[in-house]
Amino acid sequence: MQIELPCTEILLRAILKKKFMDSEGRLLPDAFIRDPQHSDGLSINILRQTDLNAWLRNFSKSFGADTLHAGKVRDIGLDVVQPVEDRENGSGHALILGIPTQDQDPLRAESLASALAKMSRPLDRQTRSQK
Amino acid sequence: MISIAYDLQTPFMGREPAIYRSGNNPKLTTTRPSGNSYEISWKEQPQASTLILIPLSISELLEAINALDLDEDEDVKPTEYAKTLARKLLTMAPVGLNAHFSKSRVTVGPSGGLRLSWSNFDKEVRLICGGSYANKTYLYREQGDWTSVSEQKDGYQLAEWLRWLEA
Repeated sequence: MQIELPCTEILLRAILKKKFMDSEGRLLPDAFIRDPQHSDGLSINILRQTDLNAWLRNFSKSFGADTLHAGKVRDIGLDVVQPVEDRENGSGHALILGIPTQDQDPLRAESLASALAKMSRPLDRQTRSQK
Repeated sequence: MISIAYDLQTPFMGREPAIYRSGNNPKLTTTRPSGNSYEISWKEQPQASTLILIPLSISELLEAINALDLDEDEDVKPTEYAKTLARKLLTMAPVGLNAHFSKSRVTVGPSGGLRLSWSNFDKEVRLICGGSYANKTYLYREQGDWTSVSEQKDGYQLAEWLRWLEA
């Protein structure tokens, strides 16, 4: 079961590689390419349900996060949902649905990655490491 | 001693050529006797097919691909399949390429594939090398809302799209 998120929701995308940013700290399309190992969709978090620092410290290494507006994500034909179990466990985790993998549809995978990178806005650029 | 002289005006538009060595490693020395030429000498006769003169940024990309194996930020390392394919396409691409390259990047993609990209203002070209035979390898380009993809594994097509990027 998944809950549709309202268009007003602000979403977070964690930056897990430094190379996902250009020299000026802008997020690149590579950050929005779907990994086929994550068959459910592109992982995001919901800003108002997330303790930013604690969330980013959970990754072995992270380089900050960008925000995206749920309504704008819907404008490019994608859906934004939160699995019921994520709502119940309070993790703030949610998913962007509708992004094909590179193997399924290269043109759409790349153009959607570009569109998501263009609409994302820098929120945090702190490097965090569990080491 | 065998020497060849390269005019920097052609084919690299003023960029100094770099040298990609594969197979045997000829003892190379490089000198720049004048502002417009570049001389490459080697003491032993290399196999002609192993020596390729390429624009510097391609050389840097090849080095960047090799460096990914040691990059702590890359949890997934690129596969040999992806690296071999990327090297092949990159070293084929400069043939006839009469342009220098703007911003280029390389990172590891899903399944150990490689994602290489070049950008110039509102234009971007990407070369995606699949991690294995089972994954797609393709070229992608965009300018504003216009996008295009080609699944031809062809260095000449890459060269053509990079020329488009620089035009």
